[in-house]
Parts: sequence; structure tokens; C-alpha cells
Amino acid sequence: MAEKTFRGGIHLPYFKDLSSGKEIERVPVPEEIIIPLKQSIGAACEPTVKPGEKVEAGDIVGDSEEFVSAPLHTGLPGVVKAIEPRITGTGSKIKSVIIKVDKNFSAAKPDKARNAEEVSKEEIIKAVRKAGIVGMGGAAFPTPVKLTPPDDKKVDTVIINGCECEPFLTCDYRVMLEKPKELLQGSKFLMQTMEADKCFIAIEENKMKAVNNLRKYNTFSNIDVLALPSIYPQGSEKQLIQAILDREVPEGGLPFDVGVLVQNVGTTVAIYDAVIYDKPLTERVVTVTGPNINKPANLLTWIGSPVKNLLEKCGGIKNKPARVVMGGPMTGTALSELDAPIVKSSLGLVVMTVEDSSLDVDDFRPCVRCERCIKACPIGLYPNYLSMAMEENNVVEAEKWDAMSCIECGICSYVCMSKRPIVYLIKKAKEKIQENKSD
Amino acid sequence: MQTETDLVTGPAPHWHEGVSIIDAMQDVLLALIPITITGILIFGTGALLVIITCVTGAVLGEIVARRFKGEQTNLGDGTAVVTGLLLALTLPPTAWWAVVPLYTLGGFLSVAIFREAMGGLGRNRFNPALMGRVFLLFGRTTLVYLAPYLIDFNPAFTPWLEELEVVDVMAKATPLLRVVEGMELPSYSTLLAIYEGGSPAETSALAVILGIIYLIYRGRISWRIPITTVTGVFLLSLFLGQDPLFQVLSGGLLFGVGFMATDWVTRPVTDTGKIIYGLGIAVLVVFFRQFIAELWIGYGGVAFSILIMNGFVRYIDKLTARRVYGQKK
Repeated sequence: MAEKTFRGGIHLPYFKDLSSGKEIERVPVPEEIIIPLKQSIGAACEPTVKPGEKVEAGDIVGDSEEFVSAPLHTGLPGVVKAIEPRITGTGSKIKSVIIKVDKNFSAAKPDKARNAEEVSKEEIIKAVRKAGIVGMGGAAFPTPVKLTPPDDKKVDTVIINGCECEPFLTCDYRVMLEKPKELLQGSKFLMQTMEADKCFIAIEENKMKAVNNLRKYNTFSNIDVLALPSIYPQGSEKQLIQAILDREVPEGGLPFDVGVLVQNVGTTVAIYDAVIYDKPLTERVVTVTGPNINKPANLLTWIGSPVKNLLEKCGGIKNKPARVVMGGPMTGTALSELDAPIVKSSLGLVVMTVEDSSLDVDDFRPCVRCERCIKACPIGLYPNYLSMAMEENNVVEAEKWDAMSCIECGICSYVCMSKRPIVYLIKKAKEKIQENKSD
Repeated sequence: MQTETDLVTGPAPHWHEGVSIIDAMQDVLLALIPITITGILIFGTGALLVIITCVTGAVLGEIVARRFKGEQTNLGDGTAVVTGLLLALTLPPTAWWAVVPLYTLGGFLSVAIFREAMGGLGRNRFNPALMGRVFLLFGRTTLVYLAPYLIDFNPAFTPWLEELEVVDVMAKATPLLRVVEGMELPSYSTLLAIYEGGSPAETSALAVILGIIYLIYRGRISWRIPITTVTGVFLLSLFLGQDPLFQVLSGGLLFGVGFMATDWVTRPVTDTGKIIYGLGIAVLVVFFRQFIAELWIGYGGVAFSILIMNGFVRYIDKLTARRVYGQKK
């Protein structure tokens, strides 16, 4: 097969070796879990429990009537301590349900299991909705919404995104090694739901062990396990669709506009668990890694566990001050407090040194139009002109240079010779353009 | 509980490739080494003096202008040094009378006025080194014309005037001038290897080509501008019945398209834009050489062509922007 690719992109140092050999292990039970009531794109949930109320593992603690939303469950039993704003990984405070965990519990065994052969399309969608599943690859888009496109949109291809193109992270890699059957059956469920006749599991070729493992277990003739070149941002939905199918999601559109559904590896396994065991999304694999953490690991973590618990489990931070990034180093957010909880879309914690982190939003050098950002931009933007426009707060000019098409992959700032916070400036432009639109 | 000072925050991305402007400037300086060496070999220490004065002037220009603007100097990025060196290589080495005051001023103005006052690094629309060169060429001519009057006031200018006349002869003794004046033309091989006339930038086409190839190989410049301009000049000259190879190899054309027209700040960033820009330069160069040769030769036809096209760069970029992902094909 000819090498599939997309426009632009760059080779990054991956540093996957720090944690790729570490088997998934459980994080210790925390004293309390913090469940932010907004963890996905769309509407925030309202709490369905009151302070003082006792909750069991798997109980719903927040829900919403809105279509674009996902219910929230607790993964651990205990007592609702409070419902109050708490700091989150986004840097701002979000109203959260805080549960004082009852540590004397016995892990409940799933009491029933559906037969994969007998599940209907409707049952799958219902189970996914009930389990509160959202995109676990970072975007946190409610999965049921993706599974029910408008009637005029026919999806013919499902892509399971196992690229994990962000450096350092290995949570999806470990899932592909340790849960191949679940992943393949989950993919099959997605094909069934979308009535798609083709499925690709896309993996970057720096993870050949995962590719070979899935190929070994794959018994479905219409599921292909693809090894793609390791070019960042291969795992971006739009780039992945372009690389595999040579289709472009139209400006402002969604993958179903070109007949595609893309789901992350972790999400697909969560879908399997939801369909077979009715298991709500209350835990996920989080990679704790980076040059500045003592013992990197892949941790199966209850949603709501404070970040500091995970760092403790990994032997703590080596040198302070440090930069603790939730997500990957290219697109993640640097935490301001370690009390922030792990949420459904938290891929990992990358602990970096101060020297690694270099962007300064107030003091940066002029653009010398070296073109490195232009060559690397996977969307075909002119990040140089965008950042120069936003230096002068010229939102109109930024919109003319297609700021809204930016996928915020961070490549432009990464390669910038003047260390300009280009993607930060473009995000600012997008916010302002949207503000102006809603006025 | 952690203390907040233990954590460093800031926007994504949280790391950087670590490539900075100085890396590119180092490559430009490396690419200029063959030209500098042939220049010094041919013109002797005079060429070295030109380089030292221009670079000193350029560095002073950044220091003074940035202080005036209340901005930090950043000589470490190498941009001022490169501008000074580029300017120096386009100037005829002559007696120190002219070189020290005039060329220092040229280097100084290139950075202080033509870069810093005209928008600052990255925002100046015209190539600072070329602006400096044009300023010096006009300045010198003006001085020559003014000299008789000045001498009336001050006899001290007399030796300088004599020097300037020597300078002008040297500056004009370019191969192109030989065409105009019906002199014997140098052979291709002379032009390629070592031609003793004009400025270091015009002496050895081979040294210039070597530098250009290195910059393209290192990814610092695109092939589009040099190739389209050279091809354009070649074909247009052929069409006008001139010796195309001679037109390409002589004068400051190769140096201009390789080192001046490819200046990041003042060239288009779009692929199509580079082709249009390169062709525009080619048309102007041939036009100047063909139709107003006497007026322009020795005064920088290539320099003017590039500067004129510099003025259109931002418009060219806007008109030739590539299609963004997801937009209609």
C-alpha cells in the first residue's frame, strides 16, 4: 500500500519508551473524588444528588436533559460531601460533586453480560448514552451524538484512532496491547451502529507491537489494522480522514459530512464495556510520564481522582518547580493546582522541567517570516500572518486568514524560531470571532 | 497541599523544537564564506575593511535604533551582522577615505533606518541591505556632483574627490558596463570563476551558486525565487537577442536572487507568490538592462528590481494564499 499521509506535519521526538513498557495498574483509592459537572462539549450537567447523600459505585451524580450532554457517574461508593466549584484541569473552577470515598468496599463483579451477537443497534446507542461515554481522546464530544447523525448523512467508514500522536502518552498503546478483543468487538459495535461496511484501526508505525497484536486477534474481514507514518498530528481527526480516505471534512463541518465516524481507542473499549456489561464510564487509563517524574506508569484511574494521587503513586515530581501538563505536551494544559481531578478526557499527566517549557505570551520576538510554521501547518494556514494580526488585536484580519479553520495542534509554536505563542494567539482570535458572531 | 510556586503554567505547546533565528543566520554566514573569501582574494584587505565597517555600522544601527525605540537589542540573533555583511559584499572596495565614513554610515542606516525605523525586524517591507546599497550609490554620486562646490569651501575634500573618482571607475568596471562601452567581454569561465571588477558579490558566479545551493539544501531558502528569476532573465534575454548566459552570470544578478530576493522578511511566503515575485524581478532586470542601461548599470538594476518587487509582497501573498483544508477545491 502506498504511504498514506496528510499535508504538512512534522516528526517529533516521541519519548514513548518512558512508559510504553509499563502494564496498566490501578491507582490507589483516593480520600475523595471530585466530579466536575461539565466534562464534555455541550451542556453542563445538573447534580442529581444532595450533600450528605450516600452513593454506590456506578450511581449517577449528574445529568442533563440536553441532547448534546452526557451523564456523570461515580466510580466509588461514599457520601456526597459537597457540591461546590472546584479547580479543574482547564485552570478555572467548575461546579463539582465531591464524594468522600468509603474505602471499605468490595469491587462489584458485573452481574450480567450481554451476548455480543445478539445486541441491536438501538441497544448499543442506549447503552452508550446511559454509560455517559464521551470522546476520551481529548475532545470530550458526547459519543451518542456522533452515533446518531442526521438521516441524510450516511456513514460508510469507521476509523478507530489509535495514532496517539502526542509525544509521551502511551495509554491507548497499552489498551491496544492489553484489550485487543474488547477493542475489536467495540469497533464491530460501531460499524453495526453506523451501518458502515469498512473499519480501519489506525496506528502510527512507532507502535508496531500494537499493530501486530491487533492483527493477531483480528478475525473480522472488514476491519483493517493500518500502520501509518509517525507524523504529528496524524491522530487529529481531520488529518486522519485525509490520510486514510483522501477525504476532507468541509470547513465548519463534521466527519459524518464525508461519511466517516472517528472514535478513539479508549472510547471504543469503553463502548464495549457499556454494551456488554452496562458499565458506566467511571474510570480510564491515564499515562503519568515525562522527564520530571520519578516512576512513569499507565494508571487505571477513577474519574475524579485528584492529580496529586497519581503523581504520588508514581514516586512524585523529581525537580520543582515543574510543569505538570494534563494531556500531551503539544495540546495539553499546564495545571495550576495538583488538586485538579482526572476527567473523562484526561489522557495523561506529562511532568516536564521548567527548561522544557519556554513559551512566554508577554515577551516574544518578532516574526521573521521564516515559513517554518507555514510548511508544518497541517491545515494549510498562514500562522505567521495570523499571529502578526493578533499582535495588533486585528481580529478581522485574523478571520480573513482563516483563523476558524485552525485545529490548535500547536505545531506552529513548536517550530517557531522566535518562540512566538502562535497557537495561543489564534485561539484568542477564534474566541473573539465567535464572540462577535453571537453579538 | 502543594504550594503554587512549585508549578509553572503557560499556554500549549509546552515544549519547543529549539531551533532559533541564529541557527539560520549561521547558515547564511556559512553560505557567504566562499564569496567573502574570493572577495578578499581579489580586492585584498580593502574588501575586509568594507566588511568590517559595514558590519560595525549595522551593529551600531541596531543598538542606537533599539535604544531610541526603547526595545531590547538582540545582536545575538545575528540579523544585524548578516545585513551588514550582505551590504558589504555588494559594495566596491576602495580607499579607506570613502570606505570608513561612508560605508559605516551605510551599514548603520541599513539597520537603524531601513529596518528599525521602517517597521522593525520582521516588519520592514524593503530589503535593508539593498536599501543601504542604493543609498550609498546615490549618496556617492551626489557627493561627486557636490564635490566642486564643497571644495570651494574646504580644500580638505580634494583628496577625497580624487579617491571617489577612482572608486567610480572601479565600481563601473562591471562586465555589463563593458557591453555598454563596447569593451571586450570577459569569457564565461572568467565570470564563473573570478572576474576582477565591481564588488565581491559580482566576482565569482561559482562562489555565489555554491552559497545558494547550500541554503536551499539546508532548507533556509526556497528554490522558487532563484530558479524562476534566473530562468526568466535567461529566456527574456534570449528573446531580446542578447547573450542569455552572459546576462545571467554577470552583474549582481545571481547574488541578488540568491541572497537578497530570498530575504525572509521581504519575499512572499506563498509558493505561487514566489514564482510571481521571481518573474517580476526577472522582467524588471531585463527591462532596466535593455532600455535604460547607461542610467542603471553601476547603480544596481538588480537592486532596484528587487526593491520594487518588495513593495508588492504583501499583496502577492494575499492574492496567492493556498487553499485551506476543507475549503472548496
